[in-house]
Order: sequence, then structure tokens, then C-alpha cells
Amino acid sequence: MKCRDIRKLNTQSPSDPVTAQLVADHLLSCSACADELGELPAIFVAPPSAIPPPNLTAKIMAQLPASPAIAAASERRVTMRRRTAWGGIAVLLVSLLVFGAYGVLVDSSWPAHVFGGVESTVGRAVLALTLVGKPMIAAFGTLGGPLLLGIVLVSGLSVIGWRRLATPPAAILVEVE
Amino acid sequence: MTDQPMEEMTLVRATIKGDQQAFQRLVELYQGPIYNMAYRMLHNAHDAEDAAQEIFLRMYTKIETYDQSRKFSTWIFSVASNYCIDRIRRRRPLVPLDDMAFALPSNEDGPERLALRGELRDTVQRALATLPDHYRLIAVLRYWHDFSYQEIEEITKLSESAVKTRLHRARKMIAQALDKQGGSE
Repeated sequence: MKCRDIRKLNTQSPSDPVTAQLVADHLLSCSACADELGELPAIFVAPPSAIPPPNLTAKIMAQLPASPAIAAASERRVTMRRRTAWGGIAVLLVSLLVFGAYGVLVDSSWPAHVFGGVESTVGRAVLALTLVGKPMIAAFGTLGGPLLLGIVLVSGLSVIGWRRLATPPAAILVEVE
Repeated sequence: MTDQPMEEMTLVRATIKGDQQAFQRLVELYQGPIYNMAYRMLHNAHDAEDAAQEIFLRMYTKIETYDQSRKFSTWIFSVASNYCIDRIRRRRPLVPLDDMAFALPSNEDGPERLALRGELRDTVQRALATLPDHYRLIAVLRYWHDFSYQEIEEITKLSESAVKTRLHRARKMIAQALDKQGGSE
């Protein structure tokens, strides 16, 4: 017999000796019901269920790929494309930061020289990254430090506050266990 | 929950081999519980239907990753609960759930409305809607789907004490919400 059947029986005829015995036997083996007995609102003893629309199966079957293996392969391709795109963005950002920082602190033309000079396509791309990255690094140097400190401070305080709200008081844990 | 039914495992193995009839049978077996869970989590018939479709498509795609030594129902509810929580996060409401709970649509058309009419349904759904997502998920798994604590641990990847604590708090919150509704009516 399922827990919800036992809960329902217990609510409907608690004084019946057969029901009482069934409930008692169930409680010996079910810690969940032992915790919940007397604490669960009566309306939640056996709550009503929602009925799915009649054409749900047909709608699902209409969208089905040929086989799970094909569907999984297609999903892997999508995931790989997404990872590649994010990887490209990450490489671009890191390049901007590294070349920009080097341009601000040392020399703007050196990174391009390493990649074949401004005569080569790669060298010109590196020079462009350096020139775009430089103002970003310069702006970060003047505004970014205090801003970053502020963000870290606010985030830290938010996390501490959230943990305090989300962690149940010790009294509840003791009561449950 | 009963032991793993033989038919279910046969259907799972056939689905892995690409048998769509077997998958259709699995959908028929689980569409009620999965739709029901999505409806309880998302509070909306349209979203629940959409979510149920997406959950079954994910199940089909990922069925090769299912560990056959574990219960199939636990696995599919794990897929479903992850999907519902993700979906709730993506469409996070701008108003607190407490406010939203008392403004749930009451005249929405659809087959489930016919079966779910009545004060009891609305009262239960409103009380459930006041719970934070992770508490609501555990209450739905326990009281609608009758999962044991151990199964809820497997589905949600939470510890036993976390499941117990959340259920205990959920019950208290439900009782408070019901009191509040009783007081306001």
C-alpha cells in the first residue's frame, strides 16, 4: 500500500481498528509518514491530479527524431557549436586584455611584430586587437578598480545574506531529525 | 512505489534500439504523472503541456544515458524536475509568488479545466504556488507522486536531511497558506 493510501485511510477512518493497525504497521517501516503524521494539512492527504490534454502523445510523437542515437548526435553537434562559439568569444576577450595590457604597459606594435608584422593579415588583426584593447585597459585602470571592489563587496554581502535566509535554523533540523 | 515493472524495462531497451512504438507506450504510461508535475510546478496548462513535450523529447534523446540498474520512474522525474526548475528560473516572475498565487488564471480553457474544476483544486494549487520552487518540487514529488525520501534524494540529488528539512518547511508553509486563504475567504 502506498503512503498516500495510508494517509487517506488514516484521515477517513482513524478510529477503525483495522485502519489503525495498517497505519501503525506502515509507520514502523516508513520514516516519511512517521514524520508527517498529524502535521500534513488534510487537504494535502491525497491532492487532486491534473489531466493531460488528449492529444499530448500525438504531439510528442510528431516531433520525435528518427532514433535516440540520431537525436543525441544532433544534440552533441549543437553543444559543440555552442562551445566553439563561447570558446571563440573567450579567446577574443583574453586577447583584447593581454594585447591591450601589453600595449598600455610596454609597446603597442610588439605583439603585431611577433605575429608577422603589419604586412601580414594575422599581424594586422593582432594590432587591431591591441589598439581596441588599450582604451579598455586604460579605462579599467582608472574606473575598473573601485568598480570591481564595489561589485565584490556587494556580491559578498548578498551571498552572506542569502545563505542566512536560506539556511534553516538549527532548531528545525533537530526537530525534523 | 513498486519494483521496476518488466514491461517498462522492455520498452526502455526497445526505445534505445530506435523502436518508436515502444517510446510511444512509455509516453502513454508517463504522460499523466509528468504533465501533472509540470502543471503543479508551472501553474499554467499551456506551459505544462509545452514542458511535458520538451521533457519527453529530452528523455528520448538522453535515454542511452539511463542507468538500467536504477528505477526508470526516478530517472524520468529527475529529468522532469531539472527541466521545470530551469524553466521557472528562465521566466522568473517579477512579482513575489505570494502575490501571484492569488491571481492564478481561473477561466482558462482546456481539457484539464474540466477535470480540475472545483474549490479543492484551486485551494490546493494556490497553497502550493506560495512555496519557493525547490520546496514546491519536493512537496509535489512526495504528495502527488508518492515518492519515498530516498527516491526524492535520487531525483533531486539532495541529502536526506535536506529533503526532510524542505518537506517539513513546505508542510508548514502550506498550512500557513491554507490558514491565510481560510482567513481571507
